[in-house]
Amino acid sequence: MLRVLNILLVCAVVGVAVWLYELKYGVRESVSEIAQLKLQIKQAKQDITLLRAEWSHLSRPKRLQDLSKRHLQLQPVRTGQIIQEQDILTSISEREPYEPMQVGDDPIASLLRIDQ
Amino acid sequence: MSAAAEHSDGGAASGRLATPVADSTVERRMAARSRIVMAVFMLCFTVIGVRIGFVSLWPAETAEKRVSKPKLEKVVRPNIVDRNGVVLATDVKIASIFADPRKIIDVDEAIELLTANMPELSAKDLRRKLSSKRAFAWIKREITPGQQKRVHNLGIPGIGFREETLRVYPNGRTGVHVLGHVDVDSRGLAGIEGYLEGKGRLYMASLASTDASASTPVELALDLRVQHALQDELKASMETFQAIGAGGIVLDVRSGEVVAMASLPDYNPHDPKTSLDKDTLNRLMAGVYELGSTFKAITFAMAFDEGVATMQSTYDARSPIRVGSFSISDYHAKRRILTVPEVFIYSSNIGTAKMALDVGLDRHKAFLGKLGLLTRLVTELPGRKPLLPPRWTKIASMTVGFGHGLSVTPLQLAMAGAALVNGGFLITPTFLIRDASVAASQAERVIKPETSKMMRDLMMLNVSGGTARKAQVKGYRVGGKTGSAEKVINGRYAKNKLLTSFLGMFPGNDPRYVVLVMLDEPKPAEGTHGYKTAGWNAVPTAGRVIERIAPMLGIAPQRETALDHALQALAKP
Repeated sequence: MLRVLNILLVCAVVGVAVWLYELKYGVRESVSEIAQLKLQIKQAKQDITLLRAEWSHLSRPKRLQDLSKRHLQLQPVRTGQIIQEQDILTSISEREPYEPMQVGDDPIASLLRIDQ
Repeated sequence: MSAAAEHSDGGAASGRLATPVADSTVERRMAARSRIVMAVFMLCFTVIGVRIGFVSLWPAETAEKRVSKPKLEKVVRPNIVDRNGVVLATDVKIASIFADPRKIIDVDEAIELLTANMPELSAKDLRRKLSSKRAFAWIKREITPGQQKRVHNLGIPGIGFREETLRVYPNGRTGVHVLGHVDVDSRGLAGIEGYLEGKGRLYMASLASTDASASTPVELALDLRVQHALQDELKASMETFQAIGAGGIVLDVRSGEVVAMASLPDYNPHDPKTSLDKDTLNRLMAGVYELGSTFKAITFAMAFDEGVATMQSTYDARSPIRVGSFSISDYHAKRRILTVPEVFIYSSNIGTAKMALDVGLDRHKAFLGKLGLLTRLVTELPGRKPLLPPRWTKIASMTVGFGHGLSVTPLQLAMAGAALVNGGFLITPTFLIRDASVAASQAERVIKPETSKMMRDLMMLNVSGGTARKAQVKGYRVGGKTGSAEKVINGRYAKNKLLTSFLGMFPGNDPRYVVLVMLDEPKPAEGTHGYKTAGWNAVPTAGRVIERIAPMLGIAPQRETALDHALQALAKP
């Protein structure tokens, strides 16, 4: 009876030791992983700060103005080009009215007619 | 157990059979004791076992962690962002390369590798540093992350990196007078950086945790786009008119927020040495000026508010006013009797001086005090104290009426100007973001709403048909008052050196922003017909600024309305 118990206990001790050993190494691995991730997070955050600063630097209005002057054919918006919504109708009537094209003039439109 | 107990009970009853009974008693006691001992041992071993488990599973706190030494670091500063969240100032960790010359095995190879990857390093200099017997030598300070990676990959023994914090202003000179700068130890020296320094390190550290993403940025009232537009137009005008300096403010009249403030010449915040130059001071706060005719707007508001003048009043401007040896005359002299709107749009010194006289010395002084023009203006940034006339006499009152004898900072005038047009509320300007409702709760009524309405009408009239015609912007009703003051040099007025300014506001009927522009010593330029007064330089500059910034600030252009005719009618006597 006692012998059986002893054998069982010895087995249990060995089992627990093996389990503990594995757990310990698992934990050690996780710990170093956590440390590494923390370092990566810190690095990433620093990179974000740096990139934000760089973005701000590259998109600064002065630079954009110089670049658009040099490379684009665009002009600054004049206030006359901005129309209020209630003025759209009156403003459009000042411009050339839209004239629908004759069916015969538009080859694609006549093609569609034929299909129908 | 129970059988043994029964047996022992029986044994205890027959007292004479001593030996066997005694034996069994000892045995029983022994058994009980050994059980207790076993239990204690079991308990101990269990405790030890569990503890061993814990110790081996959880890494023990290292000794250095428990006795953590406070790391000596530079001051942590919070990010500064504009009202739209654009980064204006941030801390960047940046590496510097150093060498331990004793550990370098092959000096020639190290030099070759380093110069090949960083051509800006001089081989001669490098050789001198690496051949020395010292344990430490800087190779290059503040390198880019790309450079750091390349040098790291070279794997030269004895070469290392040290991380340093660098304060970076990604927008360079844009907004430098508001932002300020820091010294080599990251201490704020000017502008908002200086203001944060004044609030203390703990305050700053509470905003900026070392973890950049968790920190709260300082939000400024500044709008970077508006700031750039203002700075750009001022710079262009400064060049066109060969002025020695220029300044501009865009102030929200409802919240008191300074949306833009620029002073030229400016300086590079990464090279703060240049900020010590006298020319680069912030003209709008650190300089006080006699702003001339622009100041007349205040005298008009005072005359209306004190009830000594109405739109229908007339003033005799036929001859200069003489007081002793002193005489006051008009620049745009009309030599006739002028109505109040005429006095305003022709900027008559005589008419305005008479208004000031009518109000009287004490009420004049009290009114200026009410508008905060006689004391130092307290904002986040340091401002200079106004220079008051040495004696408040009748002459002083008259000259102050048209803007001479009292020197104030341009920001003070902008604040007073905002109060004249926003319905009569004086709101202390701020460089930090502020809600209009918060501003309203701190606002102080200084003039009546009717007076404010009259001032708006006069200012619009001045732009539609007075000295400020060049500030007209298609789609917006702009109002304003010009000023061309002779500068005081060595205690005398220099006839040839002007300080021109324009105090403008838009949109006219319900103003949202005050725009103040000033130019220091502008010269005549092409198209100004030899003139160098405000109407030819400061006014068109302000017009261009308004045209650029109004759509950015979300104010839609309106079509011309019948209001123009109403205004024209006002001008006719």
